[in-house]
Amino acid sequence: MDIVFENVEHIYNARSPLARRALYHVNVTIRSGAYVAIVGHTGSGKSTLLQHLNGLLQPTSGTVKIGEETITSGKRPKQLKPLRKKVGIVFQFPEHQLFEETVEKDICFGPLNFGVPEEEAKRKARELIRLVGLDDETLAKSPFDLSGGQMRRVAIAGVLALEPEVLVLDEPTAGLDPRGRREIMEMFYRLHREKRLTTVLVTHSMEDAARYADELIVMHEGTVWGQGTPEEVFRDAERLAAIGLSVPETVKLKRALERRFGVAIPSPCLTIEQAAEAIRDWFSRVSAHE
Amino acid sequence: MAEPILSLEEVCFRYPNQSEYAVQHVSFQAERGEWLAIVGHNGSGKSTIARLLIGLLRPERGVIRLFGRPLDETTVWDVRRRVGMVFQNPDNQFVGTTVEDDIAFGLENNGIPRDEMAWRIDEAIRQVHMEPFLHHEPHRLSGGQKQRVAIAGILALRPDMIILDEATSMLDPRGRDEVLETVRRLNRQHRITVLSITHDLEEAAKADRLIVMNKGEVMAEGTPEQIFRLGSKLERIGLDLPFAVKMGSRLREQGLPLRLGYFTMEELVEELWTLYSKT
Ligand SMILES: Nc1ncnc2c1ncn2[C@@H]1O[C@H](COP(=O)(O)OP(=O)(O)OP(=O)(O)O)[C@@H](O)[C@H]1O
Ligand SMILES: Nc1ncnc2c1ncn2[C@@H]1O[C@H](COP(=O)(O)OP(=O)(O)OP(=O)(O)O)[C@@H](O)[C@H]1O
Ligand SMILES: [Mg+2]
Ligand SMILES: [Mg+2]
Repeated sequence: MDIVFENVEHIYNARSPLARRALYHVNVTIRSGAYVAIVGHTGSGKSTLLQHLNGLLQPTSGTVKIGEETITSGKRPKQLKPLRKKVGIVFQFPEHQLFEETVEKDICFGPLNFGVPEEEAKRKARELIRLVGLDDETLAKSPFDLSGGQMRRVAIAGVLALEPEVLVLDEPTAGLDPRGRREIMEMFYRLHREKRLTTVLVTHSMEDAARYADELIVMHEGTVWGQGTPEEVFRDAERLAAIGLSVPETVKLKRALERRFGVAIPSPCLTIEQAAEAIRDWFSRVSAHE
Repeated sequence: MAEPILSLEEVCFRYPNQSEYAVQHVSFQAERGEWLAIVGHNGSGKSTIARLLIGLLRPERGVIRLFGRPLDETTVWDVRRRVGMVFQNPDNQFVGTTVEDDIAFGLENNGIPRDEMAWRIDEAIRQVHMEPFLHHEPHRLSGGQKQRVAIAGILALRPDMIILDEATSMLDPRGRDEVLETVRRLNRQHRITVLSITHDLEEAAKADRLIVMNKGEVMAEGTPEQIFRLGSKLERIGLDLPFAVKMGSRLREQGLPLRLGYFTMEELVEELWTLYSKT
Protein backbone atom coordinates (compact mmCIF):
# COMPACT_ATOMS: atom_id res chain seq x y z
CA MET A 1 0.00 0.00 0.00
CA ASP A 2 1.82 3.12 -1.20
CA ILE A 3 1.17 6.34 0.66
CA VAL A 4 1.30 9.56 -1.33
CA PHE A 5 0.99 13.11 -0.01
CA GLU A 6 0.33 15.66 -2.76
CA ASN A 7 0.72 19.30 -1.92
CA VAL A 8 -0.78 18.79 1.51
CA GLU A 9 -1.58 21.74 3.71
CA HIS A 10 -3.07 21.60 7.17
CA ILE A 11 -4.28 24.63 9.05
CA TYR A 12 -5.58 24.15 12.59
CA ASN A 13 -8.55 26.33 13.56
CA ALA A 14 -8.75 27.70 10.03
CA ARG A 15 -10.77 30.91 9.77
CA SER A 16 -10.22 31.81 13.42
CA PRO A 17 -7.78 34.30 14.92
CA LEU A 18 -5.80 31.35 16.26
CA ALA A 19 -5.39 29.76 12.83
CA ARG A 20 -2.05 28.01 12.62
CA ARG A 21 -0.56 26.52 9.49
CA ALA A 22 1.02 23.31 10.70
CA LEU A 23 1.80 21.80 7.26
CA TYR A 24 2.28 23.23 3.76
CA HIS A 25 3.57 22.00 0.37
CA VAL A 26 4.04 18.51 1.70
CA ASN A 27 4.87 16.12 -1.13
CA VAL A 28 5.97 12.73 0.09
CA THR A 29 5.78 9.17 -1.20
CA ILE A 30 6.14 6.26 1.18
CA ARG A 31 6.52 3.03 -0.73
CA SER A 32 4.73 -0.08 0.40
CA GLY A 33 7.05 -2.08 2.67
CA ALA A 34 9.40 0.82 3.45
CA TYR A 35 10.61 1.77 6.92
CA VAL A 36 10.58 5.55 7.03
CA ALA A 37 11.68 7.74 9.93
CA ILE A 38 10.43 11.31 10.29
CA VAL A 39 12.64 13.65 12.29
CA GLY A 40 12.33 17.34 13.06
CA HIS A 41 12.35 20.04 15.68
CA THR A 42 9.53 20.43 18.24
CA GLY A 43 6.43 21.75 16.49
CA SER A 44 7.71 21.06 12.96
CA GLY A 45 4.51 19.19 12.02
CA LYS A 46 5.42 15.53 12.50
CA SER A 47 2.40 14.48 14.57
CA THR A 48 0.08 16.51 12.34
CA LEU A 49 1.44 14.67 9.30
CA LEU A 50 0.98 11.27 10.95
CA GLN A 51 -2.64 11.94 11.83
CA HIS A 52 -3.41 12.28 8.12
CA LEU A 53 -2.43 8.65 7.63
CA ASN A 54 -5.68 7.24 8.98
CA GLY A 55 -7.98 10.13 8.27
CA LEU A 56 -7.96 11.44 11.83
CA LEU A 57 -7.09 14.79 10.27
CA GLN A 58 -7.93 15.84 6.71
CA PRO A 59 -5.79 18.19 4.68
CA THR A 60 -7.15 21.72 4.36
CA SER A 61 -5.86 21.47 0.80
CA GLY A 62 -4.10 18.82 -1.25
CA THR A 63 -4.64 15.07 -1.16
CA VAL A 64 -3.43 12.06 0.78
CA LYS A 65 -3.64 8.67 -0.93
CA ILE A 66 -3.35 5.57 1.18
CA GLY A 67 -3.58 2.55 -1.11
CA GLU A 68 -7.05 2.79 -2.66
CA GLU A 69 -8.32 5.48 -0.31
CA THR A 70 -8.07 9.16 -1.10
CA ILE A 71 -8.49 11.80 1.57
CA THR A 72 -9.04 15.36 0.39
CA SER A 73 -10.00 18.64 1.92
CA GLY A 74 -13.47 18.69 3.41
CA LYS A 75 -14.30 15.23 2.07
CA ARG A 76 -14.21 12.50 4.64
CA PRO A 77 -13.46 9.08 3.21
CA LYS A 78 -16.83 7.33 2.97
CA GLN A 79 -15.73 4.47 5.12
CA LEU A 80 -12.97 5.22 7.59
CA LYS A 81 -13.29 1.84 9.24
CA PRO A 82 -11.28 -0.16 6.67
CA LEU A 83 -8.56 2.49 6.82
CA ARG A 84 -8.46 2.39 10.61
CA LYS A 85 -8.00 -1.37 10.40
CA LYS A 86 -5.13 -1.11 7.95
CA VAL A 87 -3.31 1.79 9.57
CA GLY A 88 -2.46 1.46 13.27
CA ILE A 89 -1.19 4.57 15.05
CA VAL A 90 0.66 4.59 18.37
CA PHE A 91 0.09 8.16 19.58
CA GLN A 92 2.67 10.41 21.18
CA PHE A 93 0.78 10.34 24.51
CA PRO A 94 -0.44 6.86 25.43
CA GLU A 95 -3.15 8.33 27.67
CA HIS A 96 -4.86 9.53 24.48
CA GLN A 97 -5.63 6.02 23.37
CA LEU A 98 -6.45 4.21 26.61
CA PHE A 99 -10.04 4.37 27.79
CA GLU A 100 -11.39 1.00 28.95
CA GLU A 101 -11.82 -0.21 32.53
CA THR A 102 -9.20 -2.90 32.25
CA VAL A 103 -6.08 -3.44 30.21
CA GLU A 104 -7.58 -6.61 28.74
CA LYS A 105 -10.69 -4.78 27.51
CA ASP A 106 -8.51 -2.07 26.11
CA ILE A 107 -6.40 -4.43 24.04
CA CYS A 108 -9.48 -6.42 22.93
CA PHE A 109 -11.47 -3.32 21.94
CA GLY A 110 -10.11 -3.03 18.40
CA PRO A 111 -10.30 -6.70 17.47
CA LEU A 112 -13.85 -7.06 18.90
CA ASN A 113 -14.89 -3.98 16.97
CA PHE A 114 -13.64 -5.63 13.79
CA GLY A 115 -15.53 -8.85 14.45
CA VAL A 116 -12.87 -11.05 16.04
CA PRO A 117 -14.51 -13.60 18.41
CA GLU A 118 -14.08 -12.81 22.12
CA GLU A 119 -12.04 -15.93 22.97
CA GLU A 120 -9.65 -15.21 20.12
CA ALA A 121 -9.31 -11.55 21.13
CA LYS A 122 -8.50 -12.50 24.73
CA ARG A 123 -5.96 -15.07 23.68
CA LYS A 124 -4.31 -12.44 21.55
CA ALA A 125 -4.30 -9.95 24.44
CA ARG A 126 -2.38 -12.44 26.61
CA GLU A 127 0.14 -13.00 23.85
CA LEU A 128 0.61 -9.28 23.24
CA ILE A 129 0.93 -8.26 26.88
CA ARG A 130 3.97 -10.53 27.16
CA LEU A 131 5.35 -9.29 23.86
CA VAL A 132 5.47 -5.74 25.26
CA GLY A 133 7.22 -6.91 28.43
CA LEU A 134 4.35 -6.93 30.96
CA ASP A 135 2.92 -9.85 32.90
CA ASP A 136 -0.52 -11.48 32.75
CA GLU A 137 -1.66 -9.82 35.98
CA THR A 138 -1.57 -6.46 34.23
CA LEU A 139 -4.56 -7.54 32.11
CA ALA A 140 -6.96 -7.20 35.04
CA LYS A 141 -5.72 -3.75 36.08
CA SER A 142 -7.09 -0.40 35.06
CA PRO A 143 -4.85 1.16 32.42
CA PHE A 144 -4.86 4.36 34.49
CA ASP A 145 -3.36 2.62 37.53
CA LEU A 146 -0.13 1.95 35.68
CA SER A 147 3.18 3.77 35.54
CA GLY A 148 3.92 5.94 32.47
CA GLY A 149 6.07 3.33 30.78
CA GLN A 150 3.58 0.54 31.52
CA MET A 151 0.78 2.61 29.92
CA ARG A 152 2.95 3.11 26.86
CA ARG A 153 3.40 -0.65 26.55
CA VAL A 154 -0.35 -1.27 26.81
CA ALA A 155 -1.05 1.35 24.14
CA ILE A 156 1.41 -0.41 21.84
CA ALA A 157 -0.21 -3.80 22.49
CA GLY A 158 -3.62 -2.29 21.64
CA VAL A 159 -2.39 -1.12 18.24
CA LEU A 160 -0.63 -4.39 17.42
CA ALA A 161 -3.84 -6.28 18.25
CA LEU A 162 -5.37 -4.82 15.07
CA GLU A 163 -2.64 -6.41 12.95
CA PRO A 164 -2.27 -3.29 10.82
CA GLU A 165 -0.51 -3.30 7.45
CA VAL A 166 0.85 0.17 8.10
CA LEU A 167 2.39 0.76 11.50
CA VAL A 168 2.63 4.41 12.48
CA LEU A 169 4.68 5.19 15.57
CA ASP A 170 4.80 8.66 17.14
CA GLU A 171 7.79 8.61 19.50
CA PRO A 172 6.84 5.15 20.69
CA THR A 173 9.74 4.85 23.12
CA ALA A 174 9.27 8.07 25.10
CA GLY A 175 8.88 6.98 28.72
CA LEU A 176 10.27 3.48 28.22
CA ASP A 177 13.27 2.36 30.23
CA PRO A 178 16.47 1.72 28.23
CA ARG A 179 15.95 -2.03 27.95
CA GLY A 180 12.28 -1.57 27.01
CA ARG A 181 13.30 0.94 24.39
CA ARG A 182 15.71 -1.48 22.76
CA GLU A 183 13.42 -4.51 23.01
CA ILE A 184 10.38 -2.72 21.67
CA MET A 185 12.24 -1.12 18.77
CA GLU A 186 13.64 -4.56 17.89
CA MET A 187 10.15 -6.05 18.09
CA PHE A 188 8.77 -3.43 15.68
CA TYR A 189 11.62 -4.14 13.31
CA ARG A 190 10.99 -7.89 13.46
CA LEU A 191 7.28 -7.38 12.73
CA HIS A 192 8.18 -4.98 9.95
CA ARG A 193 10.22 -7.64 8.20
CA GLU A 194 8.21 -10.76 9.02
CA LYS A 195 4.81 -9.26 8.19
CA ARG A 196 6.13 -6.99 5.45
CA LEU A 197 4.64 -3.92 7.10
CA THR A 198 5.04 -0.36 6.02
CA THR A 199 6.45 1.44 9.05
CA VAL A 200 6.47 5.17 9.71
CA LEU A 201 8.40 6.20 12.81
CA VAL A 202 8.55 9.69 14.29
CA THR A 203 11.51 9.92 16.61
CA HIS A 204 13.90 12.30 18.31
CA SER A 205 16.41 9.48 18.58
CA MET A 206 18.80 9.93 15.69
CA GLU A 207 20.32 6.57 16.70
CA ASP A 208 17.01 4.76 16.07
CA ALA A 209 16.43 6.66 12.83
CA ALA A 210 19.90 5.64 11.61
CA ARG A 211 19.60 2.04 12.74
CA TYR A 212 16.16 1.10 11.49
CA ALA A 213 15.03 3.38 8.67
CA ASP A 214 15.58 2.86 4.94
CA GLU A 215 14.73 6.48 4.43
CA LEU A 216 14.53 9.67 6.49
CA ILE A 217 12.17 12.58 6.06
CA VAL A 218 13.35 15.77 7.75
CA MET A 219 10.56 18.19 8.67
CA HIS A 220 11.18 21.87 9.32
CA GLU A 221 8.56 24.48 10.19
CA GLY A 222 5.70 22.62 8.57
CA THR A 223 7.27 21.33 5.41
CA VAL A 224 9.69 18.69 4.13
CA TRP A 225 13.20 20.09 4.41
CA GLY A 226 15.10 17.08 3.21
CA GLN A 227 14.81 13.41 2.43
CA GLY A 228 17.26 10.59 1.86
CA THR A 229 18.93 7.51 3.28
CA PRO A 230 20.33 7.89 6.82
CA GLU A 231 23.81 8.05 5.31
CA GLU A 232 22.84 10.93 3.04
CA VAL A 233 20.97 12.87 5.70
CA PHE A 234 23.57 12.53 8.46
CA ARG A 235 26.46 13.43 6.15
CA ASP A 236 25.78 17.12 6.61
CA ALA A 237 25.82 17.77 10.35
CA GLU A 238 26.19 21.55 9.96
CA ARG A 239 23.08 21.94 7.83
CA LEU A 240 21.12 19.80 10.29
CA ALA A 241 22.43 21.83 13.21
CA ALA A 242 21.17 24.99 11.51
CA ILE A 243 17.59 23.68 11.85
CA GLY A 244 18.13 22.51 15.42
CA LEU A 245 18.81 18.84 14.72
CA SER A 246 21.74 16.66 15.58
CA VAL A 247 23.38 13.50 14.27
CA PRO A 248 23.67 10.10 16.02
CA GLU A 249 26.22 9.81 18.85
CA THR A 250 28.35 7.52 16.68
CA VAL A 251 28.57 10.17 13.99
CA LYS A 252 29.46 12.80 16.61
CA LEU A 253 32.27 10.56 17.83
CA LYS A 254 33.52 10.00 14.28
CA ARG A 255 33.65 13.77 13.73
CA ALA A 256 35.33 14.45 17.07
CA LEU A 257 38.03 11.88 16.28
CA GLU A 258 38.55 13.30 12.80
CA ARG A 259 39.06 16.74 14.30
CA ARG A 260 41.43 15.53 16.99
CA PHE A 261 43.54 13.36 14.70
CA GLY A 262 43.14 15.29 11.45
CA VAL A 263 42.48 12.05 9.57
CA ALA A 264 39.13 11.11 8.02
CA ILE A 265 37.28 7.92 8.98
CA PRO A 266 36.00 6.41 5.73
CA SER A 267 32.70 5.00 7.04
CA PRO A 268 29.36 6.65 7.83
CA CYS A 269 29.43 5.13 11.38
CA LEU A 270 25.63 4.90 11.57
CA THR A 271 25.37 2.21 14.25
CA ILE A 272 27.50 1.38 17.25
CA GLU A 273 28.59 -1.94 15.67
CA GLN A 274 29.57 -0.26 12.41
CA ALA A 275 31.36 2.56 14.25
CA ALA A 276 33.37 0.22 16.50
CA GLU A 277 34.71 -1.70 13.51
CA ALA A 278 35.42 1.39 11.46
CA ILE A 279 37.23 3.11 14.33
CA ARG A 280 39.35 0.05 15.08
CA ASP A 281 40.45 -0.27 11.42
CA TRP A 282 41.08 3.45 11.14
CA PHE A 283 43.02 3.51 14.41
CA SER A 284 45.30 0.64 13.34
CA ARG A 285 45.97 2.49 10.12
CA VAL A 286 46.83 5.86 11.68
CA SER A 287 49.02 4.18 14.33
CA ALA A 288 50.89 2.14 11.69
CA HIS A 289 51.68 5.25 9.63
CA GLU A 290 53.78 6.81 12.37
CA MET B 1 27.27 18.80 57.59
CA ALA B 2 24.26 21.02 56.99
CA GLU B 3 20.82 19.56 57.56
CA PRO B 4 19.56 17.97 54.34
CA ILE B 5 16.80 19.92 52.56
CA LEU B 6 15.06 16.65 51.85
CA SER B 7 15.14 13.28 53.55
CA LEU B 8 13.18 10.06 53.26
CA GLU B 9 13.45 7.47 55.97
CA GLU B 10 12.22 3.93 55.42
CA VAL B 11 9.28 5.14 53.32
CA CYS B 12 6.78 2.45 52.25
CA PHE B 13 3.71 2.97 50.10
CA ARG B 14 0.99 0.81 48.52
CA TYR B 15 -1.73 2.09 46.17
CA PRO B 16 -5.28 1.43 47.41
CA ASN B 17 -6.42 -2.18 46.93
CA GLN B 18 -2.97 -3.35 45.90
CA SER B 19 -1.13 -6.06 47.73
CA GLU B 20 2.30 -5.12 46.42
CA TYR B 21 4.24 -2.13 47.61
CA ALA B 22 5.02 0.46 44.90
CA VAL B 23 7.76 1.86 47.15
CA GLN B 24 9.52 -0.08 49.94
CA HIS B 25 11.93 1.05 52.66
CA VAL B 26 13.13 3.96 50.58
CA SER B 27 15.67 6.17 52.31
CA PHE B 28 17.79 8.94 50.78
CA GLN B 29 18.67 12.57 51.33
CA ALA B 30 19.42 15.67 49.30
CA GLU B 31 21.48 18.71 50.25
CA ARG B 32 20.41 22.19 49.31
CA GLY B 33 21.59 22.99 45.78
CA GLU B 34 22.21 19.38 44.83
CA TRP B 35 21.19 17.87 41.48
CA LEU B 36 19.89 14.38 42.14
CA ALA B 37 18.86 12.03 39.32
CA ILE B 38 16.51 9.12 39.96
CA VAL B 39 16.76 6.29 37.44
CA GLY B 40 15.11 2.88 37.30
CA HIS B 41 13.03 0.51 35.14
CA ASN B 42 9.39 1.15 34.27
CA GLY B 43 7.23 0.68 37.34
CA SER B 44 10.15 0.87 39.77
CA GLY B 45 8.42 3.56 41.87
CA LYS B 46 10.00 6.81 40.63
CA SER B 47 6.81 8.78 39.99
CA THR B 48 5.32 7.40 43.19
CA ILE B 49 8.24 8.92 45.12
CA ALA B 50 7.61 12.25 43.40
CA ARG B 51 3.92 12.14 44.37
CA LEU B 52 4.82 11.28 47.97
CA LEU B 53 7.23 14.22 48.14
CA ILE B 54 4.57 16.80 47.34
CA GLY B 55 1.99 15.13 49.53
CA LEU B 56 -0.28 13.87 46.76
CA LEU B 57 0.14 10.44 48.35
CA ARG B 58 0.87 9.64 51.98
CA PRO B 59 3.38 7.01 53.07
CA GLU B 60 2.03 3.95 54.82
CA ARG B 61 5.20 3.89 56.90
CA GLY B 62 8.31 6.00 57.23
CA VAL B 63 9.01 9.72 57.42
CA ILE B 64 9.55 12.37 54.78
CA ARG B 65 11.21 15.63 55.85
CA LEU B 66 11.39 18.72 53.66
CA PHE B 67 12.96 22.06 54.51
CA GLY B 68 13.66 20.90 58.04
CA ARG B 69 10.15 19.80 58.94
CA PRO B 70 8.24 16.53 58.65
CA LEU B 71 5.75 16.47 55.78
CA ASP B 72 2.19 16.35 57.20
CA GLU B 73 -1.18 18.12 56.90
CA THR B 74 0.21 21.24 58.57
CA THR B 75 3.25 21.58 56.32
CA VAL B 76 2.01 20.23 53.00
CA TRP B 77 0.73 23.58 51.65
CA ASP B 78 3.97 25.30 52.39
CA VAL B 79 5.85 22.43 50.74
CA ARG B 80 3.73 22.63 47.59
CA ARG B 81 4.47 26.35 47.39
CA ARG B 82 8.19 25.71 47.62
CA VAL B 83 8.43 22.66 45.37
CA GLY B 84 7.74 22.94 41.65
CA MET B 85 6.93 19.68 39.95
CA VAL B 86 6.71 18.93 36.23
CA PHE B 87 4.59 15.82 35.74
CA GLN B 88 5.34 12.97 33.37
CA ASN B 89 2.28 13.85 31.27
CA PRO B 90 2.05 17.66 30.93
CA ASP B 91 -1.67 17.44 30.05
CA ASN B 92 -2.28 16.52 33.69
CA GLN B 93 -1.01 19.83 34.97
CA PHE B 94 -2.52 22.44 32.65
CA VAL B 95 -5.34 24.46 34.21
CA GLY B 96 -5.46 27.66 32.15
CA THR B 97 -7.15 28.10 28.78
CA THR B 98 -4.11 29.93 27.41
CA VAL B 99 -0.43 29.41 28.03
CA GLU B 100 -0.26 32.81 29.70
CA ASP B 101 -3.22 32.11 32.03
CA ASP B 102 -1.79 28.76 32.87
CA ILE B 103 1.48 30.19 34.12
CA ALA B 104 -0.33 33.10 35.80
CA PHE B 105 -2.54 30.68 37.71
CA GLY B 106 0.41 29.15 39.51
CA LEU B 107 1.84 32.57 40.36
CA GLU B 108 -1.50 33.81 41.66
CA ASN B 109 -1.73 30.78 43.92
CA ASN B 110 1.64 31.69 45.36
CA GLY B 111 0.52 35.26 46.03
CA ILE B 112 2.81 36.98 43.51
CA PRO B 113 1.68 40.59 42.90
CA ARG B 114 0.21 41.39 39.44
CA ASP B 115 2.98 43.57 38.05
CA GLU B 116 5.64 41.09 39.05
CA MET B 117 3.60 38.29 37.47
CA ALA B 118 3.78 39.90 34.05
CA TRP B 119 7.54 39.99 33.83
CA ARG B 120 8.02 36.60 35.45
CA ILE B 121 5.76 35.05 32.79
CA ASP B 122 7.62 36.95 30.13
CA GLU B 123 10.99 35.74 31.35
CA ALA B 124 9.93 32.12 31.79
CA ILE B 125 8.33 31.87 28.37
CA ARG B 126 11.45 33.31 26.76
CA GLN B 127 13.65 30.81 28.58
CA VAL B 128 11.80 27.96 26.85
CA HIS B 129 11.43 29.78 23.50
CA MET B 130 7.64 29.70 23.45
CA GLU B 131 6.95 33.45 23.03
CA PRO B 132 4.74 33.03 19.94
CA PHE B 133 2.40 30.70 21.83
CA LEU B 134 1.41 32.88 24.80
CA HIS B 135 -2.23 33.04 23.72
CA HIS B 136 -2.54 29.44 22.60
CA GLU B 137 -4.43 26.72 24.38
CA PRO B 138 -1.92 24.47 26.19
CA HIS B 139 -3.81 21.30 25.24
CA ARG B 140 -3.52 22.15 21.54
CA LEU B 141 0.22 22.28 21.32
CA SER B 142 2.70 19.73 20.01
CA GLY B 143 4.13 17.23 22.50
CA GLY B 144 7.43 19.03 22.92
CA GLN B 145 5.73 22.43 23.13
CA LYS B 146 3.55 21.15 25.98
CA GLN B 147 6.62 20.05 27.87
CA ARG B 148 8.24 23.44 27.34
CA VAL B 149 5.17 25.24 28.67
CA ALA B 150 4.96 22.95 31.70
CA ILE B 151 8.60 23.74 32.47
CA ALA B 152 8.03 27.49 32.00
CA GLY B 153 5.25 27.29 34.59
CA ILE B 154 7.72 25.97 37.13
CA LEU B 155 10.55 28.35 36.19
CA ALA B 156 8.21 31.32 36.75
CA LEU B 157 7.47 30.11 40.28
CA ARG B 158 11.15 30.14 41.26
CA PRO B 159 10.67 27.32 43.75
CA ASP B 160 13.30 26.15 46.23
CA MET B 161 13.14 22.68 44.77
CA ILE B 162 12.30 21.46 41.27
CA ILE B 163 11.11 17.92 40.57
CA LEU B 164 11.24 16.91 36.92
CA ASP B 165 9.43 13.66 36.11
CA GLU B 166 10.72 12.83 32.63
CA ALA B 167 9.98 16.43 31.83
CA THR B 168 12.05 16.53 28.63
CA SER B 169 11.22 13.11 27.17
CA MET B 170 9.58 14.60 24.07
CA LEU B 171 12.07 17.32 23.28
CA ASP B 172 14.52 17.01 20.43
CA PRO B 173 18.10 16.44 21.65
CA ARG B 174 19.10 20.07 21.27
CA GLY B 175 15.92 21.38 22.88
CA ARG B 176 16.53 19.01 25.76
CA ASP B 177 20.08 20.27 26.27
CA GLU B 178 18.90 23.89 26.18
CA VAL B 179 16.13 23.38 28.71
CA LEU B 180 18.35 21.40 31.07
CA GLU B 181 21.02 24.08 30.76
CA THR B 182 18.46 26.68 31.90
CA VAL B 183 17.52 24.58 34.90
CA ARG B 184 21.19 23.95 35.64
CA ARG B 185 21.85 27.69 35.69
CA LEU B 186 19.10 28.20 38.30
CA ASN B 187 20.44 25.26 40.23
CA ARG B 188 23.90 26.86 40.40
CA GLN B 189 23.01 30.52 40.76
CA HIS B 190 20.17 30.21 43.24
CA ARG B 191 21.11 26.87 44.77
CA ILE B 192 17.75 25.42 43.77
CA THR B 193 17.68 21.71 44.56
CA VAL B 194 16.79 19.55 41.56
CA LEU B 195 15.37 16.05 41.55
CA SER B 196 15.29 14.72 38.02
CA ILE B 197 13.56 11.44 37.20
CA THR B 198 14.91 10.29 33.87
CA HIS B 199 15.58 7.39 31.50
CA ASP B 200 18.23 9.45 29.73
CA LEU B 201 21.55 8.22 31.04
CA GLU B 202 23.53 10.98 29.35
CA GLU B 203 21.48 13.40 31.43
CA ALA B 204 21.90 11.31 34.58
CA ALA B 205 25.65 11.31 34.00
CA LYS B 206 25.64 15.07 34.63
CA ALA B 207 23.89 14.84 38.02
CA ASP B 208 25.78 15.29 41.29
CA ARG B 209 24.36 12.04 42.55
CA LEU B 210 22.19 9.18 41.29
CA ILE B 211 19.57 7.08 43.03
CA VAL B 212 18.95 3.76 41.27
CA MET B 213 15.50 2.26 41.86
CA ASN B 214 14.67 -1.40 41.33
CA LYS B 215 11.27 -2.92 42.09
CA GLY B 216 10.30 -0.18 44.53
CA GLU B 217 13.59 -0.23 46.42
CA VAL B 218 16.75 1.85 46.26
CA MET B 219 19.27 -0.49 44.68
CA ALA B 220 22.24 1.86 44.66
CA GLU B 221 23.17 5.45 45.37
CA GLY B 222 26.29 7.39 44.44
CA THR B 223 28.08 9.72 42.05
CA PRO B 224 27.63 8.98 38.34
CA GLU B 225 31.11 7.50 38.33
CA GLN B 226 30.32 5.13 41.21
CA ILE B 227 27.02 4.11 39.63
CA PHE B 228 28.30 3.54 36.09
CA ARG B 229 31.07 1.36 37.49
CA LEU B 230 28.29 -1.11 38.31
CA GLY B 231 28.34 -1.88 34.57
CA SER B 232 26.38 -4.97 33.61
CA LYS B 233 24.58 -4.94 36.96
CA LEU B 234 22.72 -1.90 35.66
CA GLU B 235 21.94 -3.62 32.38
CA ARG B 236 20.46 -6.53 34.31
CA ILE B 237 17.85 -4.28 35.92
CA GLY B 238 16.74 -2.77 32.62
CA LEU B 239 19.11 0.18 32.54
CA ASP B 240 21.94 1.05 30.24
CA LEU B 241 25.33 2.74 30.26
CA PRO B 242 26.28 6.09 28.71
CA PHE B 243 27.34 6.00 25.08
CA ALA B 244 31.06 6.59 25.77
CA VAL B 245 31.16 3.64 28.19
CA LYS B 246 29.43 1.28 25.76
CA MET B 247 31.57 2.42 22.85
CA GLY B 248 34.73 2.09 24.93
CA SER B 249 33.99 -1.49 25.84
CA ARG B 250 33.16 -2.35 22.22
CA LEU B 251 36.49 -0.92 21.12
CA ARG B 252 38.21 -3.01 23.78
CA GLU B 253 36.40 -6.08 22.45
CA GLN B 254 37.72 -5.11 19.02
CA GLY B 255 41.22 -5.33 20.44
CA LEU B 256 42.09 -1.72 21.31
CA PRO B 257 43.83 -1.67 24.73
CA LEU B 258 41.83 1.26 26.13
CA ARG B 259 41.67 1.91 29.85
CA LEU B 260 38.31 2.13 31.62
CA GLY B 261 36.86 4.98 33.62
CA TYR B 262 35.58 7.60 31.18
CA PHE B 263 31.96 8.65 30.89
CA THR B 264 31.80 11.32 28.19
CA MET B 265 32.66 11.41 24.53
CA GLU B 266 35.42 13.98 25.09
CA GLU B 267 37.11 11.64 27.57
CA LEU B 268 36.87 8.74 25.13
CA VAL B 269 38.46 10.83 22.35
CA GLU B 270 41.29 11.81 24.72
CA GLU B 271 41.78 8.20 25.75
CA LEU B 272 42.20 7.20 22.10
CA TRP B 273 44.60 10.11 21.60
CA THR B 274 46.68 9.02 24.59
CA LEU B 275 46.83 5.48 23.25
CA TYR B 276 47.87 6.80 19.84
CA SER B 277 50.59 9.03 21.32
CA LYS B 278 52.05 6.06 23.19
CA THR B 279 52.45 3.91 20.06
N1 LIG C 1 -4.81 20.61 18.04
C1 LIG C 1 -4.10 21.66 17.64
N2 LIG C 1 -4.66 22.88 17.48
C2 LIG C 1 -3.93 23.93 17.06
N3 LIG C 1 -2.62 23.90 16.77
C3 LIG C 1 -2.00 22.72 16.91
C4 LIG C 1 -2.69 21.54 17.35
N4 LIG C 1 -1.80 20.53 17.40
C5 LIG C 1 -0.62 21.04 17.02
N5 LIG C 1 -0.72 22.36 16.72
C6 LIG C 1 0.35 23.25 16.23
O1 LIG C 1 0.80 22.78 14.97
C7 LIG C 1 2.23 22.81 14.88
C8 LIG C 1 2.75 21.41 14.55
O2 LIG C 1 2.46 20.56 15.65
P1 LIG C 1 2.83 19.00 15.66
O3 LIG C 1 2.15 18.42 16.85
O4 LIG C 1 2.52 18.41 14.35
O5 LIG C 1 4.41 19.07 15.88
P2 LIG C 1 5.48 17.90 16.10
O6 LIG C 1 6.46 17.99 14.99
O7 LIG C 1 4.79 16.61 16.30
O8 LIG C 1 6.22 18.39 17.43
P3 LIG C 1 6.76 17.56 18.72
O9 LIG C 1 8.09 17.00 18.35
O10 LIG C 1 6.89 18.63 19.76
O11 LIG C 1 5.74 16.54 19.07
C9 LIG C 1 2.73 23.36 16.21
O12 LIG C 1 3.10 24.70 16.08
C10 LIG C 1 1.56 23.21 17.16
O13 LIG C 1 1.51 24.24 18.10
N1 LIG D 1 -2.69 4.88 40.49
C1 LIG D 1 -2.13 3.67 40.68
N2 LIG D 1 -2.85 2.65 41.22
C2 LIG D 1 -2.30 1.43 41.41
N3 LIG D 1 -1.03 1.12 41.09
C3 LIG D 1 -0.26 2.09 40.56
C4 LIG D 1 -0.78 3.40 40.33
N4 LIG D 1 0.21 4.16 39.77
C5 LIG D 1 1.30 3.35 39.67
N5 LIG D 1 1.02 2.11 40.15
C6 LIG D 1 1.96 0.96 40.23
O1 LIG D 1 2.99 1.29 41.14
C7 LIG D 1 4.27 0.88 40.65
C8 LIG D 1 5.22 2.06 40.59
O2 LIG D 1 4.72 2.98 39.64
P1 LIG D 1 5.45 4.35 39.30
O3 LIG D 1 4.50 5.14 38.45
O4 LIG D 1 5.95 4.98 40.53
O5 LIG D 1 6.67 3.83 38.42
P2 LIG D 1 7.81 4.64 37.65
O6 LIG D 1 9.11 4.22 38.22
O7 LIG D 1 7.50 6.07 37.65
O8 LIG D 1 7.70 4.01 36.19
P3 LIG D 1 7.81 4.67 34.71
O9 LIG D 1 9.26 4.70 34.38
O10 LIG D 1 7.10 3.70 33.84
O11 LIG D 1 7.16 6.01 34.75
C9 LIG D 1 4.00 0.20 39.31
O12 LIG D 1 3.98 -1.18 39.46
C10 LIG D 1 2.63 0.71 38.90
O13 LIG D 1 1.92 -0.25 38.14
MG1 LIG E 1 4.53 15.37 17.96
MG1 LIG F 1 6.94 7.43 36.14
